[in-house]
Amino acid sequence: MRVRDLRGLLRDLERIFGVSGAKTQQDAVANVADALPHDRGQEQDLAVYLKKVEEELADDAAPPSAKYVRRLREAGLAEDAFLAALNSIEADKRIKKADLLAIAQAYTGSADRKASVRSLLKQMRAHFYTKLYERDANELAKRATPV
Amino acid sequence: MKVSQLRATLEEFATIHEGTGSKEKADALRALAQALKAADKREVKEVIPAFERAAAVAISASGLASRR
Repeated sequence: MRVRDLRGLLRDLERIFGVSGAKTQQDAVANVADALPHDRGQEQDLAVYLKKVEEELADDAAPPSAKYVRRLREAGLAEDAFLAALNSIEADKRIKKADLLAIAQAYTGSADRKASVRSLLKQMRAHFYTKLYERDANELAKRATPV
Repeated sequence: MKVSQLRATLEEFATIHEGTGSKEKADALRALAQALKAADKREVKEVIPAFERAAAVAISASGLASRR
């Protein structure tokens, strides 16, 4: 089943509640249906999408830094995923300097407590690109022909 | 409305669908109810951002996949 099929089901429920005058239930179901992905996103497998929802809800219950540490680690050496995670951190108003310090420490292994927010972000970028260069250098070394 | 109440509603409709032989629909509603379980004590409005964030992750992941 796809995400759009669930939306269809929720729209049916919305109509039923609308006809029966159950406004609270109608609104709740409509809110969920509206929040489901549109366009390409609605074609994805429902189980996969709902798993992500479950993870997001679990992240909500955890400290905000835990979510971003997980995202940065999951990004691995994928530059787009890493930059998206870093942008989310910068945009998240809940993230204070103490949270950022915890994220930087968990991601890079160490972080200066006196460092500014800007330098902590810079340190995380540097850590990522160092790992990326190391991977590329190792690949080049493997392909090199010994003289 | 609390998430627990929404979940109860979804379960009721899942049972109705099951009764009419629409197992796939029943499973989808139960899967949604299950995904919401951890947020039982919260208001439905409060969990909406989690749906939107999951959607955003899905879109960026499909974007990455299509570029590879």
